Order: sequence, then C-alpha cells, then structure tokens
Amino acid sequence: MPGLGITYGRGGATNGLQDLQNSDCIMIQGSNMAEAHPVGFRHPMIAKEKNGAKLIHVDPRFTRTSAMCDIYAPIRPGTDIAFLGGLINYVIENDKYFEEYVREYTNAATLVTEDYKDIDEMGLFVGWDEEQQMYDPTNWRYEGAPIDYASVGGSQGALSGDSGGGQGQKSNADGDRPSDETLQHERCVFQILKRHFSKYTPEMVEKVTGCPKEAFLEVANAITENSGRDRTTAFCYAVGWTQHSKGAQIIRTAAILQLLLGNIGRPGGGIMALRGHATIQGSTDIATLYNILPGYLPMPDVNKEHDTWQDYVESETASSGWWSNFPKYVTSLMKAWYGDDFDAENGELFDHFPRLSGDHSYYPTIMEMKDGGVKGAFVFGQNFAVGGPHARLARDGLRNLDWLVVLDAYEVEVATAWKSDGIDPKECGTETFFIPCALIAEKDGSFTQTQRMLQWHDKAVEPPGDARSDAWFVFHLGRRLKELYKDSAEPRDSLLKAMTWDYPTEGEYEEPDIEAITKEVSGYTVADRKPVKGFVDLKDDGSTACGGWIYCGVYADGVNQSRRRKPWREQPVQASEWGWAWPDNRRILYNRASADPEGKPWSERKKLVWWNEDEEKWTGEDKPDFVPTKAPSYRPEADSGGMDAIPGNGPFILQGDGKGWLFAPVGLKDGPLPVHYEALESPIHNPMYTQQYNPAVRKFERPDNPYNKPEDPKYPYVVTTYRLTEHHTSGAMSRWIPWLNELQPELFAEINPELARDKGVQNTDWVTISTSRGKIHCKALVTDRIAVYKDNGKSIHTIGLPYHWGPNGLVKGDIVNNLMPVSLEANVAMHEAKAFTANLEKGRV
Amino acid sequence: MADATRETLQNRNGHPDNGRPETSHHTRTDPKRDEKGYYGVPPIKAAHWTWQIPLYFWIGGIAAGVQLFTTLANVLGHEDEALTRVGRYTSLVAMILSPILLIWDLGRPERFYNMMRVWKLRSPMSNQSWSLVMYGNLSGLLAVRQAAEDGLLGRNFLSRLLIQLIPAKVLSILALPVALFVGSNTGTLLSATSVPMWARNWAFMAPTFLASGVSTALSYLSLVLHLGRWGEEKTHTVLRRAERATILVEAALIAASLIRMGRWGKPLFSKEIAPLFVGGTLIGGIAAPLALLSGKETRNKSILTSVLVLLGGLAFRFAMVHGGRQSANDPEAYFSFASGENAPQPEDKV
Amino acid sequence: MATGFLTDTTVCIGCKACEVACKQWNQIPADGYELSGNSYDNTRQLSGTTWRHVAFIENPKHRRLTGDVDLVALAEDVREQLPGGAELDALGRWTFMSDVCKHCVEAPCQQACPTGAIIRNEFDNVYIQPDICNGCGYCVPACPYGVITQVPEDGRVFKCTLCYDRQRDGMEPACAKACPTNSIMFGEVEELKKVAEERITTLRAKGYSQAYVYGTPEVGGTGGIGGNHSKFILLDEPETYNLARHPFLPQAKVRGAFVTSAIAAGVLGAVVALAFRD
Ligand SMILES: Nc1nc2c(c(=O)[nH]1)N[C@H]1C(S)=C(S)[C@@H](COP(=O)(O)OP(=O)(O)OC[C@H]3O[C@@H](n4cnc5c(=O)[nH]c(N)nc54)[C@H](O)[C@@H]3O)O[C@H]1N2
Ligand SMILES: Nc1nc2c(c(=O)[nH]1)N[C@H]1C(S)=C(S)[C@@H](COP(=O)(O)OP(=O)(O)OC[C@H]3O[C@@H](n4cnc5c(=O)[nH]c(N)nc54)[C@H](O)[C@@H]3O)O[C@H]1N2
Ligand code: SF4
Ligand code: SF4
Ligand code: SF4
Ligand code: SF4
Ligand code: SF4
Ligand SMILES: [Mo]
Repeated sequence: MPGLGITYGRGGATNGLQDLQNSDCIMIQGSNMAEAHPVGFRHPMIAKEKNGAKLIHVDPRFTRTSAMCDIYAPIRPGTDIAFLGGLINYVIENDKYFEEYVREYTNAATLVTEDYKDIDEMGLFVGWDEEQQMYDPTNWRYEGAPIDYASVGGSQGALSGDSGGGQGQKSNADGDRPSDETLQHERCVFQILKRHFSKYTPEMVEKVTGCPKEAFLEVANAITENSGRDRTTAFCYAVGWTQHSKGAQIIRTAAILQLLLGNIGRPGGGIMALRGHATIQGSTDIATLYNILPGYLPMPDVNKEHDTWQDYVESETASSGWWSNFPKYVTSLMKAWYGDDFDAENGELFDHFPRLSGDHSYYPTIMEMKDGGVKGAFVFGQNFAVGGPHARLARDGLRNLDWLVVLDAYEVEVATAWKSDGIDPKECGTETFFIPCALIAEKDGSFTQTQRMLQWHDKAVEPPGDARSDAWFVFHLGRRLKELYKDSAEPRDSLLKAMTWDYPTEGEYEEPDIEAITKEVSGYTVADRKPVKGFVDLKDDGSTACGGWIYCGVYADGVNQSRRRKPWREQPVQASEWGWAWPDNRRILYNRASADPEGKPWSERKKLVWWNEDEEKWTGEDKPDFVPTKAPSYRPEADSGGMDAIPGNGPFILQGDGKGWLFAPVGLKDGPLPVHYEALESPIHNPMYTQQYNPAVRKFERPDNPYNKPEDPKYPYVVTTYRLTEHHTSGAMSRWIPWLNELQPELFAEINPELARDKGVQNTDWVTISTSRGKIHCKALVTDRIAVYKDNGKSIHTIGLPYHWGPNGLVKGDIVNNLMPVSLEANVAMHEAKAFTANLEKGRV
Repeated sequence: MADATRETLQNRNGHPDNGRPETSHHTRTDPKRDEKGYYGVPPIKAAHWTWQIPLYFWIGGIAAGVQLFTTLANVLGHEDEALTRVGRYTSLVAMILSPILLIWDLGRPERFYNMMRVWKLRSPMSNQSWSLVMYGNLSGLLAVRQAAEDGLLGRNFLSRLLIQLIPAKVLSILALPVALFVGSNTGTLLSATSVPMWARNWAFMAPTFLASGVSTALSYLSLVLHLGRWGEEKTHTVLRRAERATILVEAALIAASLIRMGRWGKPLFSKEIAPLFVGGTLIGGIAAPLALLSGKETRNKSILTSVLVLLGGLAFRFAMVHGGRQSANDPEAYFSFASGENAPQPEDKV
Repeated sequence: MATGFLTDTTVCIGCKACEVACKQWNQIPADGYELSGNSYDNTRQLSGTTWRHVAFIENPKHRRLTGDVDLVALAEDVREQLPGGAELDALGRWTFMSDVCKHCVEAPCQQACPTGAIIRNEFDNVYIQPDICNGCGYCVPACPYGVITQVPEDGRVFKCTLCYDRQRDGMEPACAKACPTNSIMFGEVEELKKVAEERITTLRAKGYSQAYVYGTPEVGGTGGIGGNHSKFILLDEPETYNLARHPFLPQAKVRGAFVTSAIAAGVLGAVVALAFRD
C-alpha cells in the first residue's frame, strides 16, 4: 500500500474500524464493505444511527453496501482517479480545504525544483524513458534536494506487496527547504497540485466516470461539509482500488484529498484500508513477501549497495525521520535469528545472507514454473489455481513442477492441478504431496487484522487425524534440515547452522510453543532474555534481539498483550486494552494532527491527543504517535538528524520532513501525482490524455498471456470481479460448506437489462464470457444494479463476476480467473482484476 | 424531468412487451412487479396431504350417511334386516379403513396415539380423532352384535349374551350424532385453515361435505343392495327418493359454496381441477344422476346412478383438497383474501 | 415474561449471518444448491429446514448515466413511489428482510395441533415439542405466514424454536447473536414494543413517514391473531415481504361451523326421514 505509505509514511490503515463510529461522513469507494466486511460494517451503521453520519458508496454496482448508504454514485470501473481528482479540484477551487492543517502538516508550501514539469498533453511526467519503458524520477524532487536520486531513492522492496507497513526509503531532509507559507509560489506543491487537478472538473468527472454530475457534486458537498475543525470524514477502501494497473495512485489520490480536508490523524477521519484475509496485514508485517524482512526492512539486494553488513546498514539508514533508527531494528532482527553467531560489530554472517537478484514475486515465479525454471514449491494456504490471475497459466505452471507440497485443510484446486483441465494424470510429472493442516480453532496464534491489531486465539479443539499446524510443519522441517547440515563445512550453510531454532514444544505431537515465537518477535535483551518494552529500547550494538520491530512490545512485561480481551464497554473509546496494535499500541496513526499547530485540540468534539503545557508532554485518549516530549513549537536545526529533524508540527514522523506528502518527491514508479489512465484493457479511448494506460504498468508479453487491445471490438464489455458475502475468495473453504453453498450455489454474471435485451438473454439463462485468455460458462443474473455508461452515445456495459467457484467442492463452477491477464501495477505488482475486457454471448458456446 | 430522461424511462419501462428482459428482481416497471408478493413464492404453505386424505373424507362421509339412513329406518320402524346388516358392517369397515388411511398419511405413523394425548375442541383434527374413536367403538359394538345375530360367532351362549347385552337401538341413536359429526367435520377440518378457498367457505364447507356424504351413502346402500339383490322393495323406493332429495340439497350447498367462495373458488375451475370438479362432481355426480333418477327406474339404471354419485363424491373431495393446494400456492389469492373483510373475522355472524 | 424479536429491516445489510447461524446452531441441513435468479435469495422461503430466511427485494431506480440527466427530477420521481419521500432513497433501494416465525399471540398452528405438540413455553414462545409431533401436518395450512413446514425426510414439522435451548441457558438466540447490525433484536416483548415505537419515531423524523411496526395488534393489522411476539419494522406494504396484511385466526370459525353442521344434519335428517313416508 504505497499509496498510503508514500503519502503518510506507513502503509497501514490510519484509524481503526471502531473509530468509524466517530465519523460524520464515511466514504466507501473501492470496497463493498457491507458484503466483504459485514462485521466491520456495523461501525458505519452505528455512526449513521448515532451521529447521523452520511454514508457514501461509489461503485460500479449497486451493492448491499450501496443499499445502506445515503448517497450512491455509480462509476465506470477503473475511473476512481478521475472521480477523486474531481473532488480534489472541487476542494481547491471552492476553498474548501483545511487551510491551517494543509499549511502546517503537509508539504503544500515546499517548493519543487524547476526541472519538474507536470504531465504533458500526452499524459506523461518529465523523465519518461520510452526505451526502458520507465520513469527516471530524478526531476520530481524538492528544490535543494540532491539530484543523485538513485542513492537516496526508496527501497522499492519495502514498498512492495499489496501490503501495509512503512516505507523504507530515506529522504534527504536537511531541514532547510525553500518553501512559501502563503502557498502562492508557482512552484510550491500546493500550486502544482492545483494546476495538476484543474482539468478534473465536474463535467470531466461525468464524462470519464459516467457518474452524473449531480451525484458527484452531492458527494463533494457531503465530504466538504463534514470536514474541518469540528467534523471529520473517513474513507474506506479495499481491493476495488488496489486491483488496478494504477492501484497505488488511486489510493494516493484519496490520501491527498484527506490531507487537504485535514482528516488524517483525527478521530472519525483517516483512511481505512480494509484488509482481506484474517491476517493478511500480519503476513506482510512479519513478511511473507519475498522482498522485505519483518517490519518492512528492505531485503538485501545484489543490485544495491548491500555488499557488506556495513554497506547495507549505511545505505538503508535515513538521515532524518523514523527510518534513521534502521540500524537498531535490523541488528536486533539478526540477533533474534542468529543469536550469538551474529556479531553486530563486523556482521560477518551477513555475507551469507541471501540477496535479491531480481523480481521473484508471485507472477514472475508462476511464469518461471511454466517455463521450467522452478523445480518445486510449497503452497501454504493459497489456492491460486482458482484465485490467481490467469489461473489457467498458473495451473499449467503447477503441472510443470517436479514436486509440490500443499498444506491445506481442503483438497484445493492447487493440489489437484495434476488431474484437472482434462489433463491425463499420466502426462503430468508433478509429484504432489497433500498435507492436512490445522485450522484456526485447532491451534494457538495471533491474527493481525485490518487496523494493525494483533488478536490472540487459543486452541479450542485438537486438529483431526494427521492435521498439524503450519508452524509444526515448518518447525520440524527446519529442525530436520538443521540436523542434516549440522556437520557441513560449507560456508554457505553457516546461516542455517547459526539459525536459532530452539522453540519449546508441547503435547504428544511436539507442536512448537507459539507464545515463545511471539516473545522472540516482540524482542528481549540478549543478556538476560528479559522482554523489552517497546522499540525505543532496541539497540544497534547487538544487546537486544527483536524478530519484528513493529511488533516490539507485544510481549512487554512478559505478558502476551495481544491476548487482552477487556470489553470495549469497560474502557475509553479507543479501547486500547483490547488486543494490541502496532506501532506501540497506537490506535490512530499520526494522531499529533488531531491537535492544532500549538498542540490544542482542533475542537472539543474531535479531541484525541494534545500537548499538556504543565507536564510538557503529549497526552490524550490514545497513545501519542509522536515523540512524547517534543513541544509543538520545536523546530529542528539545519544539521539535526534522526528524529530531531522532525519539527513539532510534523505529525508524519516516518517522513523525512514530518509532513504529509501531497506531492511525492520520491518512492513511486509511475509519477509524483496521480493521473487518470484507462485500464490496460478498456473498450474506450482515454478521454483525458493521449496516453491510454499507466505507462509504467508491467506487462508480460508472451503467447500464453495475450492482452485485449484497447477498444478491441471483439471484446466490447468490461468485466469486474468481486466477492459475495456468502463465499470466501477462491471458495476453497466455503465451497465445502452446505450452509453457504445453498445461499450462493452457482457462478453467475450480473448484467444490465439493456445488455441482456441486446443479447436476447433472460434472467438465469446460460451465457458464455470470453477473453483472449479463455472462456467460461455461467448463468446470467439480469439486474438494474449494474449501471450502463455512455461514451459518446454508445453504451458501455459492465459484466460483474464473483470469482468464488472452481471444479472442487460441493458446488462447482467455472474459474473466472481463467479470463484474466497477468499484468502488474508498477509499484506493488498487483494484478488488474477489477477492470478488463471480454465478450459475452448467449448460451453455452 | 428532462425530456431525455423521460424518454429513457419510457423506453425502458411501462409496457409489458417493451422487449425488456426478465430481471433478477421485479422493478416497479416490470409487469410482474404489479402483482403483490415476493417472486411469486407462496406466502402460506399447502397441506402435504396425498390421496389418503380425500379418500378418507369420502369413506367418512359414506359412514355418516349410512348411519343416518339405517338409524332413521330403525327409528321410523322400517325393519329391513339386509339394510341393517349392510349398514352395520359398512360402518365397521369404514371405521377400520379411516384410521389406517389417516395414520398412513402421518409423517410419524408410529406416533398416531399422540392424537389421544389431548382433546382440543378448537382443533378439528383433534375432534376428528376423538370422534373416530367414539364412532369406531360404537360401530364396532353394533357390528359385533350383527355378527352374533348372523351366527358368525357361532351359535353359542356368548353370542346370545352379546345380542342381549348390546342394545342396538340405543347405540344406533347414540352413534348417529357422532357419525354425522365425522361426516361434517371433514369440511370443518378444511375450512379452519389459512387457505383462502377453504377458509372463505367456512359456513357451507361442513354442510356440503355432510350432504355429499349422505348422498354417496345412499347411493352406496342402493348399490350394495342391488348387487346383492337384497333388501325390501320399500327400502329401494325410500333410497331412491332420499337420493334424489339429498342430491338436490347437495347441489344447492355446492352452489352456495361457489357463490361464497367467489374469486377464491377459481382453482376449482382451473385446467387441472375442472375435469374433476365440473366433469366429475357437477356433471357426473349431480346432473347425470338427477337425470337418471327422474325417468323410469330399472336395476341397471339404479346401479349406474349409484356408481356415478359415488365417483362424483370422490371427485368432489379430491377437487376440494387439490383446489385448496392451488389456492394456498397462489399469492394473489391469499393476499387479496387476507387483506381485509374477506377473511373470516371474529365479529362475523354465524 | 414473554420474549420475542424485533427485526428492524431498515438496518439489515442482507449478510445472511442469521440464516447460517440458525442452521449451524440447530444443525439443520441445507435445502439444496440451485440458483433461483431471485436477486441474491437462493433459499427462497422459510421451511422446515430454513427457520430464518433473508428476503432480497430490489427496486433500484432507473437512471441514465449521462450528462443531461436531471438528477433532482429523478430523485423526486423515485420519492413518489417510496414511503415518506425519504431523501435517503433518492438513488434506489435494495431491501433486505430477515424473516422468521412470528410467534403469534393466538398462534393458529398451536390451536390446530391435535397432539398438543405445539405449546407456549415458559418464555411464551410458540414451541413444537419434537418428541410429541406425529407429523399430521395440520398446523401447516393453519399458519398464516407459511412458516411451519413438514420435512418429508423426517416426517415431522419444524420451525424456529426461538432458541429455546439457548434461552434456558441465559443466552440470546443464535440469529440475534450473529447479526452484525442489530437488525435482529431479542428481548422482552414489552421492552421491544417500546424500542419499536422509538425507532418508528426516529425513522419518521428522518422522512420515512410510512415506517411502521408489523406485529402489534393495534397497528400492524395482526389483530386477528392477537399480534406477534416477533415483530418487524417495515417500510413497504406487508405483501412486499410476503406477509399478509390482515392474517386471521382460522379456528375462529370452528364454532360457527359446528352450528351450520348441526343445521345441515337436521335438514338432511328431515329430508331422509321424509323419504320414509308412504
Ligand atoms: N464474504 C467475504 N468477505 C471477504 C472476502 C471474501 O471472499 N468473502 N475476502 C476478503 C479479502 S481477501 C479481501 S481482499 C477483501 C476485499 O474486500 P472488497 O474490496 O470490499 O471486495 P471486492 O468484492 O473484491 O470488491 C469491492 C467492490 O469493488 C467494486 N469495484 C470494481 N471495480 C471498481 C472500480 O474500478 N472502482 C471502484 N470504486 N470500485 C470497483 C466492485 O463492484 C465491488 O463492489 O474482502 C475480504 N472479505
Ligand atoms: N478475479 C479476482 N481474483 C482475485 C481477487 C479478486 O478480487 N478478483 N482477489 C484477490 C485477493 S484480494 C486475494 S486475498 C486472493 C485470495 O486467494 P487465495 O489466498 O489463493 O484463496 P483462498 O481461497 O483464500 O485460499 C486460502 C487457503 O488457505 C487454506 N487455509 C485456511 N486456513 C489455513 C491454515 O491455517 N493453514 C493452511 N496451511 N491453510 C489454511 C484454505 O483452506 C484455503 O484453501 O484472491 C485474489 N484473486
Ligand atoms: S469473516 Fe471474520 S473478519 Fe470477516 S467480517 Fe466476518 S467476523 Fe469479520
Ligand atoms: S407464524 Fe405460524 S408457525 Fe409461527 S407461531 Fe404463528 S402460526 Fe405458528
Ligand atoms: S404436524 Fe405435529 S405440530 Fe403440526 S399439528 Fe401435527 S402433531 Fe401438531
Ligand atoms: S431464534 Fe434460534 S431457531 Fe429461531 S431463527 Fe433464531 S437461531 Fe433459528
Ligand atoms: S444477520 Fe442481521 S444484518 Fe445480516 S441478514 Fe440477518 S438480520 Fe440482516
Ligand atoms: Mo485479499
């Protein structure tokens, strides 16, 4: 989620779900919250009932969420930047921005170098390299910042994943940036922003998004009326925004808008990134991503100055802001993993640490599988044979492995690829091992949910039969590997030999003690193995160990803080004694911004954290997300480094300048400001610029991954895919549950009556949907809830497809993702499942 | 409203044959939407009853009518042994078949005795169970006496004792109201439901069932006596006269029922049920027998008349039960019925 | 003490959690896997194996999504057909309603039952004793809401127990517990009556002038059966939710039928007796 990471400093949701109860207006866009987060949706409902909050839904389909909202604004899939850009323009043009907040807490006043040019007629920023098909971002910088961006540029690794977390890039704040507090200078960020979005008029919004101008203006009115000193508006989004070829920039647009409205760091404000799987947040925090280490520390990379431990630490340490603490975190991580064998002084062991050699993210790996470059794979709890884009290609990849180990509770399609698609199993050489896994209630552990909160779950029952927890599998695999290599003299095995792998086990089957792992993740002092209180206690001298600095403190005082379950009724609103949230149990990030520049609450109604003059420290209803004793009036010296470089009016402490970034001088591969481009596959020409789609999108041009050309008459309809309340993702779990299957038994395509009439299709008739990748059969659900858009008088139809079905389970259906191409968003390698083109025909053809 | 908008709305809406496809919902403009209800899902559930129930209704009616005729003959001093014998054995057989059919139809037949846990006067089903028990016992006693008289139990002391101990006349008179209750309650059973066609006709349902029961019973007696070439001449004459009269009463009650049912009686004339009701009951079971009965009497004609009446009565019961099912499955019928003064209201006069 | 439900359809998000929670708690089998095409409703109705059922009623408004659309006029257009001209509904509606046994005060099913299987338990809920019911099926056509239904495989009839087992253990019903938006409120009938009145006042103040409670004998037209212990807050006419406007007590006329039967018996007796005259 670099959209948030670049703008605010951390890629996580800024507020918590419960906090939505404090909102005066909630804008849900890019998520079908009521259907995909029904329990979380109770909070907007409470806000609506209690505060009379306005609920807004912006979505191509009228969904169960829309049904609950005060305003529903339909938009064409993939046009969110135009819609949000229109709101930005509306806010600036009508002077509806929170002037003081913008001036003090954002980089609005900062001047940008003269070399910077806004997008041209084409729709490209300065620095586009046609040859390399990528941007050279050296000219998107603050005035006075050094030009050799490569050396200070963001560690892209830290940004990757559809994930949360802060950004690892360092910025070269020197505390002495030219700026114009009046926001009038033509090169100040504010004026640049104003010019950039001036094209996004209500008329343009209507033209591009198809949303009636009046509906758009109603939305604009609602969010501006409900922002300011005394009121706050929150945004909620999920994969309706991320799964686009410009997903990060969509989120950026919203992040900019929320800064202009002054809604960040304040109760009832913020941007709620609604995460998907129960611990998808956790899986990026304590990284399962190939290119980051736990806590969003950058993975060592051969192409960077990461040759030695010293090089690595030095090149990744920021001179100002929170990331100046990098050495403490990375050293503690190495101590946690390698114990005494890791010498913090010389860091010798680091020489054997693996380095990235290129892109080994999910999709390139699948391609490699198919091309024979990957021999074997472990698949833990993922069913990309159904849920992965271009699922057919993924299954072909699986069939080209020598061996495959699948850990799952159900016989998922990944595990049956060797006998699906009409393949003769004799032809498939993949030896597949299916290992039954324990499910949540059958093991201890924690989830990190959508608002960065860790919640513990205790084992309720023993897993059935041979099922074991994933931790059991990995622990004993590691143990056996260590045993195998214990006498190895090879230097390359030294890492494995050094690895600390001595967790206590319990029970007949020697399940590892998960709390012991939590303890290690939380951190301890090496000498006496005492838990540390929080990341401020971490040291870069090797005296502390910590397996994931952002979770540091979850085991403070030897207590499993994530296991706390004090009911919310028995504590103040922020309920900080329920579970534990990173960082440092802060519930609302950047909450310094809930007070004015002098440290006083903006208003009584919206107070959260404030400067206590008498005690000379920040106090309030939440843990301050700020140096507790830094006075509001503090201003850094020119040579201040580290956290000292952050001024008393800089709530965004992970940014080098402490400011929210309206303009992103660094960190994004597709431009410092968002631009409306069409989806990679679109039936219409980009109405705003010559450039059709995001120029930086990553494509895989290969015969088995064809793309439908823009405006291709063979594929005149837009497909958007989504979830239903009644099923879960690839359906791997839900398709086995009769009670869910009866509720949504079959794959269907939602189409508008107009398209149905054109095709002679009646409700529940069979239809065939095809792309250049594949085709599927399903029943039509003809409904007005899918809007029709007009492009120069021509109807543009959307086909809505839930993607929960596959060949296994009690109910079966075609795999929707067979239709999808593999293409990747430039910053986070996310596929484009929310907008691609297809054809629809009547019947099963 | 902008012209363009109006045009769009008009193009899309309104007309049933505007080429608009059927949708997953029925919008206001969708013709289907004009019908009240929810996707045509029946708002009430029909009874599950299969063939056993209408068959029981028929048999129960015959038993009631037979009891009426034989008791009246007895009381009015018309002694015909063959008639008495047929009557008593018929009642017994009917009272053996009825519970079998009813229990057969239960979801849990082995629990039939739970019917005897309580007696709820407001539950026609409960009343039915108890009245069957009572009538079953009485007719059993009468049949035992008959058997004794006929020497089926042997010519011994026991038989004589039984004949002395079982007071036939008293029991017959006692059995009469119970039997009539069995015959009419079949109608009450239907009318005390939420099914529009049945409930609407609460006043005439039971009388109609009873009248039909009596007419089928008379035909039955006539048929059996004819086939067996039993019975006195007078019995046949009385039967014929009574048949003609009760068929007329029955016809009048059916007419009254149809008027009372009004629009909710529609199912009786539906494609599936009309052959049964119009063909079987109205023409076959009423009109034709009346015509046959009016001319010169022959044995064959008599037999034919009886068969027609019996079949007509059976058809009537199937038609009523199946019509009720259709009525229950028709949302429009139920909603129009249960939306105001049409449904039975507490303050209605009897 | 009488307990019951108040189901507020205005906050129901159609998540069907109640339907699943009910099936899971009571271990009821699924009804089958068939796409109905009726919006998102594939279980269609209450039955012996579906004791909670969420109805989906779509009526989004038609609108053109081009520049010259007159949104204000369109909004008014829709307001006409919507209750109270509520502003909230300016852009169409999709209504959800979680249906359940109404626990009628003078329950027709109970009155019909010949075995006494259906009782009012200590919570004043209409409860079928599964060990008594013999599956005569007579309660089925008696119910004015099509709730109680026979399960062919089992032979007996079933419906919502109002989670008798849970209530006895001091817990609220599974469906109410699972409901994320409090659309299903469980409690004492008298309390819920008050809640309902307050809620109606709030809704009216918001412009939903036609909001009403269904199931209170004085207001909802359910006087014929003494009202329901399981009430609903509705915005549209009852039939939209497949509810009868004025459900009636079928047994109210049993006595009347006795009288007409007696008269008929007399007439028939006389007619037959006359035939004996020489
Ligand atoms: N019941 C249920 N809940 C789930 C899941 C599940 O499978 N089932 N999955 C979980 C997971 S893994 C995730 S990631 C989350 C996802 O949660 P959501 O993102 O809320 O879920 P989706 O249904 O994928 O998409 C949301 C909406 O985006 C809309 N949309 C499509 N294209 C566009 C567009 O271009 N712009 C805008 N503004 N909207 C668009 C779709 O119409 C859809 O209504 O849900 C989680 N919760
Ligand atoms: N077209 C389209 N495609 C999409 C999306 C979309 O919106 N549209 N959304 C995307 C998104 S956001 C996501 S998150 C993915 C989801 O895609 P996947 O993650 O591939 O799908 P799931 O079905 O959630 O697979 C999870 C598996 O984990 C297993 N499991 C559950 N608990 C455990 C456990 O404790 N241990 C182990 N080992 N296994 C366990 C389950 O049985 C299940 O098989 O789909 C993506 N694909
Ligand atoms: S499935 Fe779990 S995480 Fe998702 S909405 Fe329900 S309770 Fe919340
Ligand atoms: S709704 Fe039907 S099943 Fe429920 S109590 Fe009333 S009559 Fe009985
Ligand atoms: S089916 Fe069961 S509950 Fe219903 S009336 Fe018969 S015995 Fe009573
Ligand atoms: S009260 Fe219990 S039985 Fe009744 S619907 Fe709710 S969960 Fe089902
Ligand atoms: S659980 Fe609540 S919100 Fe969900 S469908 Fe049922 S009543 Fe509606
Ligand atoms: Mo997800």
